[in-house]
Amino acid sequence: MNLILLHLIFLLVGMFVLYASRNNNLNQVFYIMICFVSLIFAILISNTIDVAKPNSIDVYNIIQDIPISFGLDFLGIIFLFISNSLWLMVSLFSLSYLKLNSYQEKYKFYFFFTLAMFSTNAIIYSSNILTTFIFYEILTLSTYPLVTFKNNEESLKKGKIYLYYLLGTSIIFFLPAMIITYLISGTLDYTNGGFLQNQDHSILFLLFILYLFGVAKSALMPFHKWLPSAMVAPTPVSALLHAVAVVKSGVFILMKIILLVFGSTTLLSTGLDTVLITLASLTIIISSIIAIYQDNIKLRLAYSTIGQLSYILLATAIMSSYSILAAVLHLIFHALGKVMLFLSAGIITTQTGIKKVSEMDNLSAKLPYTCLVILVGAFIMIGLPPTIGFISKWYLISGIIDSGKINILIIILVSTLLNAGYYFPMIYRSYFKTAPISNVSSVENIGLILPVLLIAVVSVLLFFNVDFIINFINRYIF
Amino acid sequence: MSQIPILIIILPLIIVPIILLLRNNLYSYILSIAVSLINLVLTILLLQYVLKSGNLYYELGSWSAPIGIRLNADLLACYFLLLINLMSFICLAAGKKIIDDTVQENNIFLFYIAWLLCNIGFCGIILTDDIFNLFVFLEISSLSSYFLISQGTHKASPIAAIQYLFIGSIGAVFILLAIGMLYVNTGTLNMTDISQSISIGNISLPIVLSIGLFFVGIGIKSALFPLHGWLVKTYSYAPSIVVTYFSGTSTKVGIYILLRVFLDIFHTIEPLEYYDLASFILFLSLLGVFLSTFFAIRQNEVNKMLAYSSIAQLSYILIAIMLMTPEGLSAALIHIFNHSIIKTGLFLTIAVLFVNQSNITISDLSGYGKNFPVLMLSFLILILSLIGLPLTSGFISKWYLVSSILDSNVWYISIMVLVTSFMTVFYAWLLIEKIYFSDLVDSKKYSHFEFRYSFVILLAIASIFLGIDTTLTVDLSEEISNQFYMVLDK
Repeated sequence: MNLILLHLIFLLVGMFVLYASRNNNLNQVFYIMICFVSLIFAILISNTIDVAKPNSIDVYNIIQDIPISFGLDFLGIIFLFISNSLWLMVSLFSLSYLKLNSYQEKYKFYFFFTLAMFSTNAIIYSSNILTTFIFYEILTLSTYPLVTFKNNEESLKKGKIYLYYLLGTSIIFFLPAMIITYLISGTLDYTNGGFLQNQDHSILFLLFILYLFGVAKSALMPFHKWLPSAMVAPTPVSALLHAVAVVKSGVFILMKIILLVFGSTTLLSTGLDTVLITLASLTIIISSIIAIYQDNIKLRLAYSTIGQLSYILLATAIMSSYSILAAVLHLIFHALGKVMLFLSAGIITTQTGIKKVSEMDNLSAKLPYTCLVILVGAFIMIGLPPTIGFISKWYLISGIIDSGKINILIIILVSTLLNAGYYFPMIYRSYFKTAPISNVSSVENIGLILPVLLIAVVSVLLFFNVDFIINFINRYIF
Repeated sequence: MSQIPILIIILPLIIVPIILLLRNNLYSYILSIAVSLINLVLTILLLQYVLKSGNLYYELGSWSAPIGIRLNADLLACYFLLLINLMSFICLAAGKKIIDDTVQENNIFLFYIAWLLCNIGFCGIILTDDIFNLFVFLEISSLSSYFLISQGTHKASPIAAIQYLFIGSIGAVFILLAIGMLYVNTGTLNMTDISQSISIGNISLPIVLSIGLFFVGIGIKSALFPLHGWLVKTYSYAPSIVVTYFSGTSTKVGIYILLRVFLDIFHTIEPLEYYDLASFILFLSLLGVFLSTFFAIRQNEVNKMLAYSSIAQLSYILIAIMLMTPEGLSAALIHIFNHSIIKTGLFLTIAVLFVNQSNITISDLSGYGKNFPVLMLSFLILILSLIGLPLTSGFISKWYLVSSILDSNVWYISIMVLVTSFMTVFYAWLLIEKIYFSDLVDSKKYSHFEFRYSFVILLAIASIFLGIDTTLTVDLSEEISNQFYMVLDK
């Protein structure tokens, strides 16, 4: 039996178990076990499957000649590992989080979270565009109940925006893009070097735009509005799904489409890379400016995510080997950093009720560890040493210089300043601004802080030991 | 084997007088459902036979074709027969309690008679090779459907029936006149004969008139956009089970007549292209999709919303046919089947839940997700299928529809099709939000499982099945459209 299929089937069975045990106290134990086994699957799969060889298997032909098929490539391994390991951490966090915030019907949360992770894993494994599309839509639908989990008027309203943006773009742009691709090339399989050579330039241009807007999970402007709306969800959802699984799926799909459908040579020779560079640069600058004006912590983080995702896309679009390396590295590092930041925001809101940056004065006295984690997270986002954010930015700049597109450096410079502009106030307020300390207990809940600290420690250790990742990626670039 | 076509029509015709003589509600139910089941089995056998050994002609009384009356079971006919008989059986099987509660005690056996006659009419239209018989069967089905519609519990039901009677009769008159014109010009009523005796060289005024009259008549029957008014009225005031039955059959039969007349009888002169009818219908359908989707969003009553949604979906089917490519025709045929399953399922959910109530508003569904988990999950699947999300039959329809449009010379209308198909989410989600995210209004609503619910579940499963295994819909549709366009190319 193929391990990839086994992994997906396991998650489906897990969902069934979660539903069957919905009134049982063991429900959350099962949930953690599912996360844990899923991580083990991820490790096993990345060790046993040789990604250098084609390894996809067809499951069933839905549309004539286009099967649902699963396989794994090197991009997949990295994303698989990062999403499954962070899932375990966030799940540990969410146990205490859901209890402290006294949410009802927790089994629904676990059930749909597992469904979302199932679809994320299926997107990672998918080896043609149709399979990607199928699970892309399932991912949208499975996160909708999580976004509207609070079931009040506001969350329903935001949920609708979320749904309309994601479904709308996928139906109006992604679906026709896929069909056009099939009509002009007769295949949808991801191929090394792409399969759209020798096509008409205007069609390629149209297709590229359709894909960029169609995969709106990557939050490229102007179809980014769903991400801030999704912040109405409970924090673990924002942390894992809307900083890692969902948005990174979007970026991951776009990277695959750029590298394995269009192919770097086709893209460079038709000048389509400039389209993406322009869009991504605009997104980076505009989202950073908007972020500065957000007082709500989660919203500020959301706009920061929009900008950071475009960093990854920008790095991919530059197409030099360093910049692709930077893109992959940033996919990992941003995930680590953003999860820490979101979970910290969750801790702050749970323990003190604070939701705004302007209320964070002297928070380090109350929540010392949380503020430390925010410090590390913010450093990663800005790209300061000694954190891993510095490494990806280093390679990004090397890549830009390598490719000769020097003026992009200005974008990087400005956006780094802007990043600092909206992260430093959080650090400054929590550490240096004095405020009367209320007598709220000054110790973090151990169940909340422990997973977050673990991620923080790993990310700091990673800075000193990043070679093995870089070597791994370098083996596969070009 | 060769007797099957006539059996499909004769068997129910024998049952009808027996029911009339027995005048017993229970017996009439048992007889009706038995004969629908037999019809369904016969249809499947016929389909298998036709797939294996080609068209099956049945000559009544062994009088050969131009003089005698002939039935023609080709693949297209079998495809539609399967649809009609499947829907009739499902509705009857799920509808016993609904019919008992809706229709007046004394009328129940008449109701079954009307139902069977209506089904005979549909089957006759599909099977006949004689254009005058087509009109006769059309009238049989129409007259019995007026009765079926008038049996609703709402006080406007008889009015809806009379309106449908007027509009339907006008449509029928148009078709009758069209047939007359054809007869005047060709001197024959056999469809195959007519199609051979008109050619591009000898188009006379009666033929042109006949084409025009057919166009309007069929337009009314298949709810082509500006002629769709009767459909909304009918769907909101007829008995819920009749709506369920009609949603999957009656307009589809209209489309069948359109295919038969314009692509089969008149195929030598290609009237759709010759008189630019295709682009005209295409334009009307696009307008229809936009406006009816827009109206559907504004409706507060579930039945009206679904009725407008039906008009939009019918317009998609017409758009696909009017592309005049084999891909377009097969996309239309695929969507005809898939949409029937989806819409019947949606209307059936409302019917099994609210039995004889009419004017069900969206807020009546508040909180049903908690009390009817399995039923509402099926409803959700059907809604997702209506939107066209992957792994449901709606996605298959949409894939072939969009790909046939993109492949044709009017690729730009795909933009409008995609946008409107996304707008489906707007009204579909109004239902989902009410069902899953509102509290129950009436907490006394019973929630135990009833037998009739299982048919909704069956249709939901069918909708997923048809979204994954497409041998029935796609392969058959492509076979049919290839046959059609092979004839056209000759």
